[in-house]
Amino acid sequence: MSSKFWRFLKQYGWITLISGALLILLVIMSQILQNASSFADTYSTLLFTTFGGVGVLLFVLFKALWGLRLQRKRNVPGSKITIRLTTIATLMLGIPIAIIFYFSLTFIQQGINQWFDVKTETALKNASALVRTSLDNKTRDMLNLTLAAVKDKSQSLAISPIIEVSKLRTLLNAQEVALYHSNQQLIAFSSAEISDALPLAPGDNLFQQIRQKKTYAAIETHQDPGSEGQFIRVIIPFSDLDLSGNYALQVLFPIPSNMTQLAESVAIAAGQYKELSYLKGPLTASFILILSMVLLLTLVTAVLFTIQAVQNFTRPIRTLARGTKAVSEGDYSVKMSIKNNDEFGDLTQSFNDMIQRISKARTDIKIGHQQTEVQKLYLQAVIKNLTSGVLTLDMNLRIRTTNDAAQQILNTDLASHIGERLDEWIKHERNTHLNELFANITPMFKQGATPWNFQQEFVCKKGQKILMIHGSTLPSIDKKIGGYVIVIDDVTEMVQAQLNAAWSDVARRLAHEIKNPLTPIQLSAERLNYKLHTKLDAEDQSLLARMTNTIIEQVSTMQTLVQAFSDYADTPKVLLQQTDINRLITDIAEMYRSPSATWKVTVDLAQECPLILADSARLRQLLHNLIKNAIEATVNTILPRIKITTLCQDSENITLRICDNGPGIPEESQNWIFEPYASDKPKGTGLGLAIVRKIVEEHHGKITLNSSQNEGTCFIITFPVISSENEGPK
Amino acid sequence: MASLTTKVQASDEIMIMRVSDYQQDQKLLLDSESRFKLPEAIVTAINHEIPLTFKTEIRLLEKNQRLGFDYDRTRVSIEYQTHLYVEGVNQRYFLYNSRNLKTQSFTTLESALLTLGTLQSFPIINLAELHPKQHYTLKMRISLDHWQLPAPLLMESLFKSHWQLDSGWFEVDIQTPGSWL
Repeated sequence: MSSKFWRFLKQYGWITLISGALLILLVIMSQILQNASSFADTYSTLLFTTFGGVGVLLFVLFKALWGLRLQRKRNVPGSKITIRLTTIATLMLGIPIAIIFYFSLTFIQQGINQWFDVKTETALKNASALVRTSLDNKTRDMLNLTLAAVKDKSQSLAISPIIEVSKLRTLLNAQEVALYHSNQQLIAFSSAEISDALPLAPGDNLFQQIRQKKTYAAIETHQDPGSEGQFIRVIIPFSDLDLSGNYALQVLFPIPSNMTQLAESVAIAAGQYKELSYLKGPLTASFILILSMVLLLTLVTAVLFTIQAVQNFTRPIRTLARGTKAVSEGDYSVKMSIKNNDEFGDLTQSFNDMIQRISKARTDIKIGHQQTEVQKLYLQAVIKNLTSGVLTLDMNLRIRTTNDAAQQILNTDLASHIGERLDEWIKHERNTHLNELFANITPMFKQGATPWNFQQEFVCKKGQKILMIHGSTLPSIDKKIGGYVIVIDDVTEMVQAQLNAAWSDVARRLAHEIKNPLTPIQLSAERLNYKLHTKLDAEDQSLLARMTNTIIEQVSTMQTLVQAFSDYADTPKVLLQQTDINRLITDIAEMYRSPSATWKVTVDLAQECPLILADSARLRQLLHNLIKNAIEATVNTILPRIKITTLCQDSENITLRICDNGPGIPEESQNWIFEPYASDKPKGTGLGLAIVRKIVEEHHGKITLNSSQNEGTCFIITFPVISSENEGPK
Repeated sequence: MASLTTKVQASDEIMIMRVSDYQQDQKLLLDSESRFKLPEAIVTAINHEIPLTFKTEIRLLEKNQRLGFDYDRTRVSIEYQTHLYVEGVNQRYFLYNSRNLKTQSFTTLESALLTLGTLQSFPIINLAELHPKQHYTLKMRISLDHWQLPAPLLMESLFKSHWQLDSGWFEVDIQTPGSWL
């Protein structure tokens, strides 16, 4: 209750105070106007105070209206309804006020006109004339009476003035009789009032009149503060011939109080009537001014009250609008204060609850989203670090995600094509090597949710690979299939290992089964030739010799083959020791330098190369195989050149390059060049390069091939530098 | 006593014709004559028993100099009001002087205005309070005090020129005689 009262006082108090004070002032002003002269000196103060007050209210009204205009421009919530309701209220109040103003004007003018009429004016004039005539007659009577007395007593007055003055006062029934000399000297006087020590002396102008021998008779008013009423003053100049003196006799006659009162009442009534008749116009104007001020004050106050009331009414709307704006800007921490326990208060409370719930839900979603993001990042990290290639597609076969392994295995750029349709991506010029692969994969998507997999050989510029493709659909909330995931494993090494194992087993069995009978076959063929040589004629001897030589050569060839099988199949323990690879290369290269050789072997060795831990015998075999391979590759070259170089660019690896200027290896052959029996040469075991790769792998190295048509071939081998303290690779 | 006069006229309705000073009994006295030529509207208002209040202001200024600047020091400031009103019954005009609280009646308005405009032997200051070698100025002004008019007339008096009756300041330079000493 108390807070509501203070709120009301704060919002409406000053308007009420100013309006109330101004109304009181206007009431006082109207009262002053009706009494005309009373409080007239304060009227001006009240008038200008009222003007000031109305000016203040008008200023406040203008300020409020200007504020509303600015609010309307800024689209402040509630401003439109405030302006609309204020306009309606102004019209609702203004029209009746204008009507009241019109009728009030008429009533004021009619009312003031009714104060005056000819009869009253005439009556008052007549009454005034009657009073004046009556008083004039009395004055004239007193003058005549005094003149008669002076005529009789002039001589005695001059002789014994004191006695005669007293007798004369009694005779004339006067209030006071005084005898003056013409030079204004008092000679004698007599008064009815014992307390009067001196007579009421005539003025200088009257003595001047006396000296001119003129009589004086007039009604005068007592000027002394203690005396009241009017009196008749009569002054008669006379001369005494005996004494040769000029005198003046002053007689004051009282006027009966009832006559005075009647005369005064007539005078007051006539005076007020005259005054009001003169003030008729200004009075009407003043009343109209006050009426205008009252109505203006009423209208301004009402409009100000309306504006304040409407603003109070729309305050919750503004609060809600601020809240919704804050929410729309993403601020869910806003909480609006509730000042009223009405429907607006309930609405605000509901809004606060709603925002709180939205905020909580939003926070939950945010946390969930963050968790999802963390999970996603986790999965991305896992997928990124997988050695298997992962590729996900959406329902429309657009690429959604991929990982580095997929790009590496498929030897293409996938990251920059996220969002692209698979069939469009395949059509790119650089992805032609993927056509066959995805031609086999795409039909698998039609299998639905059933997981699928298959193995396929895949050829790209990096070589031939064997890929294991796994596929499955991705789950979806509203659909059965949300997309597809393809997992690609490069199983080349595993298959290669299996093949190597199989080849090693075959080689081991061949070596075991074939190697043992070869020596008896060779010895038998030699013995056969030796025993039968002498017993045959020349023609048969020659035939026998050719055939036994053929057997011996073929057995020798088979022994070589078996030895190669044995070398390939056997995996003797690598005996690592400090090896100067440059020296080893120099020694072996020297073996292939012969004046009769059609080829030329050159070396370019980096002198700063460190010693490496290696099996020198196995390296020797590696170098032999590669040099032989180069010689065989350049057999049809006009000036065969074989160049062996070493590079030691860092402290961790040594690079060995063996290059020839042969015709080069076709691109399609580069994929299987290191496979056993992959040679397309008419001679050889087909195991030379396979053994080379095996030796390189035994030393934890890496071998690559760099060859192009008619530009020769380079085998690039990288050996890790192995420290003597730790014999494992760095 | 010789004197220099300067006339500052504001309106023709009230005109101060003469202001003269002289000494008597070691006092500075003043005589003045003013002529009133009231507009018809004012005369009508008087005859309708509208009381008028005339304000008479008399000032004696002493010329001084301080720090090289001239300034006037007001030695005497006299202000009093004279009410002019009519009693219609006996058709007499009255003057009430708020300074000496005396009322005078007149049969005609002209005689009342003549009396209103006449000052005789009006005491200003004792000569002992003045310095013989200083320069003094006597100023006089008569005006209608329209704030004392009846309330309904106030607005009209503010906006209508015939109610703006003001003689303006009438200045007299007093030549100080050595006999003051």
